[in-house]
Amino acid sequence: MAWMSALAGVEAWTVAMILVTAGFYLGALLATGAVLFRMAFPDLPDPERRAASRTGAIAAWAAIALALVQWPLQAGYLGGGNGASAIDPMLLGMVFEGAQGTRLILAVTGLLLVQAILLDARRLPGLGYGLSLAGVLLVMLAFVQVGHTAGEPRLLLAGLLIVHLLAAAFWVASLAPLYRLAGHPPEGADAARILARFGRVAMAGVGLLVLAGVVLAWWLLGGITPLLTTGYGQFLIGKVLIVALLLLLAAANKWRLVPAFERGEPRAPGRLRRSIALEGALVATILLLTAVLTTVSSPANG
Amino acid sequence: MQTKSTIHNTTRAALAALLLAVAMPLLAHEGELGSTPEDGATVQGSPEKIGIEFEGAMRITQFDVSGPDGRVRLTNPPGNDPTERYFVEPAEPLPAGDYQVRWRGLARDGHMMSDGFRFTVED
Repeated sequence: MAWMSALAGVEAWTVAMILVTAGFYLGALLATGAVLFRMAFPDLPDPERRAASRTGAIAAWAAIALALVQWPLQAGYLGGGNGASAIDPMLLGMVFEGAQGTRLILAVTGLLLVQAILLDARRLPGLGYGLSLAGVLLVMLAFVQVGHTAGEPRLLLAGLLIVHLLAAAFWVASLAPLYRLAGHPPEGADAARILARFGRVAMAGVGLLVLAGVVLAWWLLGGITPLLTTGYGQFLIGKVLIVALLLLLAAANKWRLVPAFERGEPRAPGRLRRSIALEGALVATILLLTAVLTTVSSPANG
Repeated sequence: MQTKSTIHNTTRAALAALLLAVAMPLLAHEGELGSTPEDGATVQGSPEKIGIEFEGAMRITQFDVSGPDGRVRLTNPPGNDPTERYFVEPAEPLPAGDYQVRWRGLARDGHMMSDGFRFTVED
């Protein structure tokens, strides 16, 4: 199997790069998604609002730290995967001068700005939202600096990826608040309005994800055969299988958990929380596989 | 209301994951056009030059050739400026045996790449 040979030569250095990259993806999506979640739900209860902002800020700092660790890891990788190369000024300079350096600057600046949403608590909601939204856009621009969305037609490809990532970030960041809400089912008209709004925003998010994802795939895939014959394609199939697990989870929720909720069964909230936690675990797996794809594949070995 | 949000959430989760997966090919890389000698080739006598060619400019940061006597000493390395053709020459004629080339580089789109090829030298 091509995917096994793609992994066969992977050394400890590469494993470290994969883990740091996956952590960066998660942190950046959580941090930017927290801003989107807050803006989509300005009428969240205070504890939920504070929790979302706090989670976003922690995720932003984690992503900044991981982005900074990526730099010497990348230099070390280029020099053959060793510590001496990681601090080689020539290699560090080469990484920084290129697309990876631009990505680093945009990502760190954006992740710092994202935290302006905390200003909301200081009674500066307008300023906080404006700065944090600018931060979200900078982080999204960081993502399109590296990879084939940096190719032509750049505006279309980068735009599609940004739409796709915004929707994904919103979804990833909503898991934790939903987990909390499932554990403490809210009551009253406010909670009902929030949940109804959540359903509408979620539907719009799914639409954007579908549209951007399908067009991107159609534009960039270029064939079915590489999916089957290359390690790259086989990792992709692995990700689709995880998606199938998520679909099973969705079906189980729809036919079993949700009716249980409607009947007000006492065990339903706990089961829903476990279901959301499992979704989070599957997301982590998907991000890890994404990092493997972007780190170990190459034209020859797929 | 909570039940509806649960449906939306799980559906959204599944679709988002599906699309993350589908969108991944955008992270494919610069094309590698070929190597000299070709991967898996058997050549008669020591090759005069060893190298690789790319579709786009690549900054090669590591290019090692190893054979039956260990690492091969190379001359005329082109440096690591962006190039579509990277070729080196063995400092001395290669004795018969199996050789492996490992290289790493930074593609124009920011991706770090690592690959290699093998060839055999016959007397």
